[in-house]
Amino acid sequence: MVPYAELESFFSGLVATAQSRGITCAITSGMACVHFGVAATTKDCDVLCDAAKSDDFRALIAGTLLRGLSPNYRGHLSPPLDARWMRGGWTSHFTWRTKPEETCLDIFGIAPRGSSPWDRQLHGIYACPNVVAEMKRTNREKDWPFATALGGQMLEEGDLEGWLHLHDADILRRFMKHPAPTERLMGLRPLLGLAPFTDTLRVKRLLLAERAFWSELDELRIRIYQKHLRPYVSAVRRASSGRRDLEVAESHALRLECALEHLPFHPLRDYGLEQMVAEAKANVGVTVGADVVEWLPAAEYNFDGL
Amino acid sequence: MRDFHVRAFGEELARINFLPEKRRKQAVAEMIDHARSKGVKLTRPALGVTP
Repeated sequence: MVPYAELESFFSGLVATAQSRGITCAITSGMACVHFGVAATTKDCDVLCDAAKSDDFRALIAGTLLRGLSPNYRGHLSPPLDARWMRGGWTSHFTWRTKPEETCLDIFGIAPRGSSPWDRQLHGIYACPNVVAEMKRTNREKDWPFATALGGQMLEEGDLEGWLHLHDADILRRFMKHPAPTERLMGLRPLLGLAPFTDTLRVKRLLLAERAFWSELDELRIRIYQKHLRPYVSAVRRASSGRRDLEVAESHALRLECALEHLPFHPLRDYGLEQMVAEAKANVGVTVGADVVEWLPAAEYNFDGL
Repeated sequence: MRDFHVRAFGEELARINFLPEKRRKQAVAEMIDHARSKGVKLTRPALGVTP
């Protein structure tokens, strides 16, 4: 078993090396949460990488051994690490076949739900708390407390953007001792207009609605990508003749061919970003209530880079 | 925020979250490695799309 400390050092070193070579990239998600003081029990790593530097990053990954093991693309399902698809929000997946469990690396070119350029807000080798918190607004219950914890930290450090990440009624009320949310933030997140958040039941209901909205949006996003992934995975399987030991370069060439045929560059944009938001809001109108829709976030801003 | 951390993450992780960074990372490493040594699988599923 590769100890976690060694894995953390490995991924930190990979990103630090990449940065030293002019590849803008940053660790996000679980390992970033640990760095910022919200412990996550994850051993895999998520990295944001400037799509324009995807070829350089891929070459670096291909040459980076972990305990003498070379990396591979993970299974048949990974899109190629290529700028054309990264810019459309596709994530690429790599693995080192460590035992007893493989070591995985996921690479994003676009921060899901990002409202601002992630590459201009780095904290050393890490994405900033704001980006990490936005990425935690998923369809998984377990992710939401991380966003709230990061938001609270941001406010305690004087960053008012933290108001966008508090998803707990009690925490919202208690943070009124900090500077109140600005008009701009209220525009992005209408629920903040309920400050000082003393109408607890109403706040709780709107928090449920917000969470349902982001969850619907994430589910829709995943469905859109997966619809295209299915034929792609079959094509990669056929093209690789079932081999899972292809080196990155060979696997990459094969995936490029399959991706050109089966993976649109910008599936979310093709679907319609406004359409996605409208659908997610309509679903919340049904599941929670039509009256909450006007309180949902202006999520049109959360597709930065797409 | 400490009581939120206890409520959201449990006593032990909340304690770890308020340690200085170096000790926090050591504690997280111990926790993860202990779980893995007991057979807990922490590798994320292969989904193709990361949530």
